[in-house]
Amino acid sequence: MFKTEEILDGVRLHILPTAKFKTVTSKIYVQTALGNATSLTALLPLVISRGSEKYPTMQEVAAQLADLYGARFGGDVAKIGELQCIEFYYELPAGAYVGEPGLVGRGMAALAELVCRPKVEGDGFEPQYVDQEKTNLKNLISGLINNKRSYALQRFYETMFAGEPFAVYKYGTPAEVEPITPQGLLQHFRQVMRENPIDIFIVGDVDEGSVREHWRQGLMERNGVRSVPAAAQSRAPQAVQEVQEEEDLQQGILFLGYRTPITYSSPDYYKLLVYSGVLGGFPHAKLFVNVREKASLAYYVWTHVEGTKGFMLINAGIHPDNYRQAVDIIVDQVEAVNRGEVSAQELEATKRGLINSLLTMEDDPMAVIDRGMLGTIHGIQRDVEEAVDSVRQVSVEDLVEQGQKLKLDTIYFLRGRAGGEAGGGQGAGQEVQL
Amino acid sequence: MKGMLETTTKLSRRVFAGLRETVYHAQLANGLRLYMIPKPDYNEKYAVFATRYGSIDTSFIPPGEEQAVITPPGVAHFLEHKLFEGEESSVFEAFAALGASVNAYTTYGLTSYLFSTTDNFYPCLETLVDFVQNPYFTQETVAKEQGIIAQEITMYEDNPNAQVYNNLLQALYHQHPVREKITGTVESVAGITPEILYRCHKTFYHPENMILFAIGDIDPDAVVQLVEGRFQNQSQTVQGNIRRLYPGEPQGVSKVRVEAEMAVARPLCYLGFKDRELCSGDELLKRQLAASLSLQILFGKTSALYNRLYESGLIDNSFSAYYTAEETFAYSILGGNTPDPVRLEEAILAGLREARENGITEEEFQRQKRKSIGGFLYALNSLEFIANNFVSTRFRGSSLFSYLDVLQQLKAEDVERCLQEQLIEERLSVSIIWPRSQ
Repeated sequence: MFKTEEILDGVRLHILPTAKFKTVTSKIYVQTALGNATSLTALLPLVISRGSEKYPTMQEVAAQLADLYGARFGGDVAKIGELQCIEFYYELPAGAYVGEPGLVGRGMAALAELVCRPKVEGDGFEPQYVDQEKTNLKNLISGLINNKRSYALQRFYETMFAGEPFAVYKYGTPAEVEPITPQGLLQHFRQVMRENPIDIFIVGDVDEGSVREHWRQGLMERNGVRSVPAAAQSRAPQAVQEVQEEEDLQQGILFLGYRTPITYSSPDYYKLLVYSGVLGGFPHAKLFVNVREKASLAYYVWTHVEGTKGFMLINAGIHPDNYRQAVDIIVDQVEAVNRGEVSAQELEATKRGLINSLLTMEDDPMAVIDRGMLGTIHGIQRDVEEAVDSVRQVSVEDLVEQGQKLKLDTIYFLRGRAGGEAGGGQGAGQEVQL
Repeated sequence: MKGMLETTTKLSRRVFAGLRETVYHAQLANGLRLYMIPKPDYNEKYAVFATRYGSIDTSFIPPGEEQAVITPPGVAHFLEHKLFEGEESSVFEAFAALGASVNAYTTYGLTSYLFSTTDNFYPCLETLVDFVQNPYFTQETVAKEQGIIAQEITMYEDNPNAQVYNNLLQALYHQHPVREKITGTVESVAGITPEILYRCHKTFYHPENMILFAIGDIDPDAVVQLVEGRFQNQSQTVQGNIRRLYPGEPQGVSKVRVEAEMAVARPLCYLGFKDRELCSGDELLKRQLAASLSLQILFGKTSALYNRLYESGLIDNSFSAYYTAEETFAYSILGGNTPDPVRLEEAILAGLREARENGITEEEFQRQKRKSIGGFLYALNSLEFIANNFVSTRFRGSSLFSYLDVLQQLKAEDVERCLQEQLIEERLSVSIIWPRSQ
């Protein structure tokens, strides 16, 4: 568990001192409301990564990181519920492994420099950097189509959550990027760093006292601090909407979205996780067995619970001709779980599988930080034993109860254009997962 | 049973003090090599059972035979899928009942079966060894798998990154099976039969051709004893050498350029340089490190060239450069999304010419060496990384934990040589995906 302390108004420092890892991992999150100024916020980490007062060019930033044994630094935005979080990631070797005990201190100083003292020109960011990163951001947004599954997922969100902030793509739109000026961007940066909630997470072999002192000094002035709401309650669907769209692709991508009032902060959250796991979380799950192994319709089919918003999704890649058959099998399997047709073995295997992933996440510093951030946003810190215990107690009756809360909202299918191309292309990467 | 079994296998131990890691090693009478690394402070326990049989092993002479066996592309991967279906039970269910997650993957050079668990490690290990060693194929189960794999192949066909990469390998190589997709094609997979699968299993899944690796809060003695017990009813002898046959591959590339159209927002452009200097063991590791360092120095974020390309808008964050090497093939690949593939190619080639004239500075060499030390340490946080890379490095006759030693011994000349001899236009193919004209 992290030791958390509010070191400045609205700035929390979460430290997990441990010698388990060979590196020190750190992440800074700045919370903003999704959909307010999405592209403006998304542009910030891109421009900030370009250079600082002390390291004014990307090449100097990179050289400095390489000299710290290849410290890793990156910035991006993450959609967590209806928050758009600016995140900065930083990792470097623990001093003991490279014979430099002072390495972490130097690393933290470099991180504060990079994030808090970006390269400015007059009353704006360096105009050249802003221009170039505007182009990159526009390309990033239009490039979503390159990854068909991510594209289909975003179109599914836009369909199911139309009119809600959750529908917004985390990078915004090209039209939103266009009018951004270096001055407007700097103003926005200063405002969020002054007023928005900031969480700094550190995992590794560090001296807590000096890290705390460092971050008290290292950040910018704070005032007018405000909180940002995590997510609006998921509303109950009126009727099931079924939407099909066409794109230039061969395999059809299917999503089914179910709304539920259960979120990460709810005491029933782990019941929902077990429900989703029994249905499609594992290779022993009902969907994998019935859609893939028995009907041979798909290579992948899985479920996911989004605890930051309150919904569950089912996703499969299928041949377009099998759309109806696949939907029917999936809906049948959902109904089977809802009727409590879950064997003791299925339930036990799912619970063990979930417990296994919960415990395994403790071995990955990034996963530990992500879970800490989820807890922070939802105002509920559970240690891993508590989570494991909650999973252990779930019964078939609990699954039936969860089934009653889940309401099918949207069936979305992205398919190839009618009369589209036949197979015959090339594929496969260097490694092919099962 | 376990208590009655006498363990005759000798366990050796090697300590890597700087890395705070200890590797245990044993070899069974049947030739199986075991490696174990205790990690008491981790929850996860991870084991890999791998065979040195990958997608490129399509043509071979089994031990004690004269005649070459030639199989269609995609058999290693197909076999990987198929071993998960036992005669009576599903392997997924067996691991699920133990609370573990099981997976497998096929690369050019190996097929690997693995599980991750926090509980029931020894029953999982038993299940792993048993399912990989006990094949069960029928006409019916093979036909069903053909349907699933066809969907897998189609999924990759919609992926522009997989496409641009596969096209590039087809351009670089005339004959070598690395030019075929690991999955094979829908057509080649249709030709797979239970007989072919049994034949390949018998040859390549002999323990002598395999490695078992375990890491986590485990007891090396118990691992050896358990694994030995699983083989007690099998032949205890080695089978001898498998002769792997690879067609003669010309030094030059097959095609200098390959272009295709797909539904992408912007073009993708990748340059591949075929390496003809082939080696194995620590020599191969050294070669890999030297080539990777040369790419980092020339095309990494610290390089003038990268910054010039980035500022001119010809590349973005998707740009990457890396080197891949096995004993029978090796190549460098670099590229990413770009608005203008033609100008990008010109700029990269001009940059390389300039670098060849100026050479590599000692300062930049030392900087990238430091960076690589850190990169290696990051990777060692992950048991999965250690397990998978330990095994693949062993198959190549080297050791994962030699990495830092080999890196220390590397000289700027080694890196310079890659620049002068490998990254040259005679070895170059270019693969481009253009946005489809609507």
